[in-house]
Amino acid sequence: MKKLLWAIVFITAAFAVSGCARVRPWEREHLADPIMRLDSHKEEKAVREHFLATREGSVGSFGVSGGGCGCN
Amino acid sequence: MAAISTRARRAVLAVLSMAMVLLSTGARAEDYTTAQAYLHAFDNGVTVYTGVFALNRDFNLDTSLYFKYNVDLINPDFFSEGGGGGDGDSLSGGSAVAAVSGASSAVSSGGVSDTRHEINGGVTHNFDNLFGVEAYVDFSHEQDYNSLTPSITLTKDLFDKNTTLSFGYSRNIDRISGQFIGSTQSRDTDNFYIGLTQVLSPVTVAQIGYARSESRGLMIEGIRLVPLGSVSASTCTVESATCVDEVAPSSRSRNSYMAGISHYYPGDGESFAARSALKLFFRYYDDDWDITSYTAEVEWDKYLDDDLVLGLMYRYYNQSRAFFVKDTYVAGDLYKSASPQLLSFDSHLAGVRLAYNIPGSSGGKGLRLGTIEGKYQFYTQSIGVNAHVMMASFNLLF
Repeated sequence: MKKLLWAIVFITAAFAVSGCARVRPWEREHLADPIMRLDSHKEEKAVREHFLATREGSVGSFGVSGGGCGCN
Repeated sequence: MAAISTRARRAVLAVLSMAMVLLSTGARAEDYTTAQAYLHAFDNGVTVYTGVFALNRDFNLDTSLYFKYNVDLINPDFFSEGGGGGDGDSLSGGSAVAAVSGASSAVSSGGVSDTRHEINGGVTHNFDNLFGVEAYVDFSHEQDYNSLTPSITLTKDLFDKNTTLSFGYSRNIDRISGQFIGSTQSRDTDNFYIGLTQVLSPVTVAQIGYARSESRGLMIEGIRLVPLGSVSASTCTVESATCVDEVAPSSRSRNSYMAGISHYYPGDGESFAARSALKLFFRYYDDDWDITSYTAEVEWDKYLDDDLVLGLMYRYYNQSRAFFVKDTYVAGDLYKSASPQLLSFDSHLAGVRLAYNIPGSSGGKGLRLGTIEGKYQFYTQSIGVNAHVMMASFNLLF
């Protein structure tokens, strides 16, 4: 229950800051730059998540595929 | 594939049906194809070669299709004499499993060799700018582990696309047949995700997310043996009265909270930070096995010139151990584990990458045909694992 409350607080706080900024499409040159991506390419991310998920106890956040001996 | 249940097939059919519906009606993603090669070299001799090929193709203005094939060659015979093995295992005592492979000595000392194939296909569709849908199916196969993962994500843009909400669900349908398991057993995991991406300014964007996973079934892989009492793990190669199977709780609930921010430093190159992006990422995790983890990551990418990007990254990770993990087990213990993943440890990952953006024929800043990239990373754990990771990739836009 405590975790759920934290999740609600977390999401509510996020909504609270939503709408603070209205950046127009013509102001997004830098936001669209590939180096601004919070995630690397999904293929690269999948390889990394699989590598880490087979060595660390808190597996990837969203459905890491495969398992086995954890050699990779 | 035969081991996958009827329920799993129904889940796949449901996702594929949804994909067909989407295609029949209409993510404006860019068309691209990518080929990547990875080398993961561990300090106990285990080497993994990975090849990835992916293709993303717009079907129309609102729909794109995606296909990916991934192969992992684990200690392949054709590159080495003997194919690696468990030499140099730096753990000791009750935890003396092969730190790199995660397997017991029974597996690693024999120079384990395996191949993992993974196929992923999916569709992304944008419904009249109201919301987007991404549906994927992923299938992974190796000798002792099959995994089928259908997933679906809904995205909704708000406030002139300054805010994006994401809701995701995926289901891992795993069939496990490790050498110390009598017959194939199952593990099913439901994953839920909610995320929010918020543009804060023309140069700053932030992202937060919450994910929850519920797993049921066999929570071990059947590839490790647990030494009892004073028995050395290095001698635990076959099941016996003193080398027994792992036993873990039959369910696990996980929560993770994530936050990230990316900031761009504009400029024309006079200052050190000009034309670079700084990204920070934090993650907190806990589960009902009493594992708590903290992850902090920083990444800095800098244009050295119009076409060349230098990237530096560092990741710190810390976790506590599962509640049933002990240094020494006795036969009467309800749960037993030899998995290094359930221990308490820190890890560090640091890396550098260099990417060359191939200029487009029409020239101009930002127009490119593709990217050639190379990357090196070093991974180390406080319980003894060290790994060198190298990657080369070629990405072509069309």
